[in-house]
Amino acid sequence: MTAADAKTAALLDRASGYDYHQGPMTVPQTNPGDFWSIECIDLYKSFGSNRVMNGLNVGIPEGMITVILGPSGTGKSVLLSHLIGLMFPDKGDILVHGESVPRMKQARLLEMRRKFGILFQDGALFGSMNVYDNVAFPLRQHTDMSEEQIKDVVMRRLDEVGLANGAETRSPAELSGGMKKRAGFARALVLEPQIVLFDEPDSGLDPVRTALLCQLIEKVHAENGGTYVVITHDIASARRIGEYIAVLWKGRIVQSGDRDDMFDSPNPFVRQFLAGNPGGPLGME
Amino acid sequence: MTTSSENPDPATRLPVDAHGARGAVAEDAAPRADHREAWETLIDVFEQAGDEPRIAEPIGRIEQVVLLRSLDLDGSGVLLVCRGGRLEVVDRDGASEQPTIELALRTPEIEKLAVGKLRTAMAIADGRATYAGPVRQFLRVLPLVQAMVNPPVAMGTNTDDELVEEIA
Repeated sequence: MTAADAKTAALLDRASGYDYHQGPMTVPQTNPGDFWSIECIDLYKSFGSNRVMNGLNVGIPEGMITVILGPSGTGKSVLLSHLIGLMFPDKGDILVHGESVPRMKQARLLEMRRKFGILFQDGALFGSMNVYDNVAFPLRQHTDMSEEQIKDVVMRRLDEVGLANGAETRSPAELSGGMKKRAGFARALVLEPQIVLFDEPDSGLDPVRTALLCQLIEKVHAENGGTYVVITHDIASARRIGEYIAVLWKGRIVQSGDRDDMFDSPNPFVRQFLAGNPGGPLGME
Repeated sequence: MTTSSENPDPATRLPVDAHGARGAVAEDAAPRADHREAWETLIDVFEQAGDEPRIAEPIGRIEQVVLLRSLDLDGSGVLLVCRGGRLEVVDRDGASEQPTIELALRTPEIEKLAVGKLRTAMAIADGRATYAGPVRQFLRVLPLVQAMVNPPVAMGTNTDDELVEEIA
């Protein structure tokens, strides 16, 4: 173990030692997937000598908006990649609806990914297609719907995100940052995913547009249900939409719980991070 | 069992606590009549949801029969038959359906659910509600019912109209 690893381990032990550390919620299940939408069990992942996930345990409850909150470079996006089987852990397991992602064969993995809708940081729209075709793309790729049926779905989803007002004919280059996010959100929804992942949905947006996007995420979740997982370092977004919050630091969940409990947390790590306070156990390392 | 026509706004029937919040009554303080009232209010909510195709259709696609029970009323329970794109509230007594999921709640949680403010998964995790069977399937669609009685804030509310127009 390097000196840096030892320091990290010591800090994590301290963080875990507080009485108020809750760790992962434990809910007994008769069968895997009875309760949890996603379970990450003791995940470890390293890239060379850089350990990104360090015994990560978290359960993502069903029917709620979960925010995974953490400082930059703490493994949030790596975790997201593990959830959808784009990366696999060195050790540990990820269960989606009770099924082990690392143990899935390729065909099952592709099928499992259809449970997910993903809003990428920049919307990840195809620059060569207009908004309508971008949103229609997954339906054309993965279903045998007629163009008339596709139009119904696409326009309903665009309407849901406030883009059915002529914006559908525009190219991504003609859209503002907020509109790109909303178009990406509409595309994430067209296959009616049971789980929607948001990778830093606030990135590149000013506070007002971030707040509007959060309001939209809440509204769409309320109208569609399912599991929403928002990965962010933006505390305002977490406070606004997070019903269940897990704070990730150094590749491990330091604390998780109900939003109200988290913002009242006496855990110094969580308090410092949620308050954006430079003084405290979190440093620049 | 009451019908939805008796009470178009179930939230208004719930008791109000000292802080003015509906459905936030402490369970120990709740008299038995309140248990019954909260329970009937919740049944009204599910009956309304069953009458609303936009809500009933996705719930009816989970293909489960949910036994919903009050832990504060002896044996009280109804079956929510979620099948074939329909949601039906059926009296448990004499029903031919067998539940595949059971969700049991105490009165404070019933009240919160009836006004669309229950974080049901958290209630289960905290032991304020109990379940059996693949409850996840029901939790997935429960936000639709909660949004029916507690509609989400529309995008752009509380912001400058001109800005919203520009963003849209």
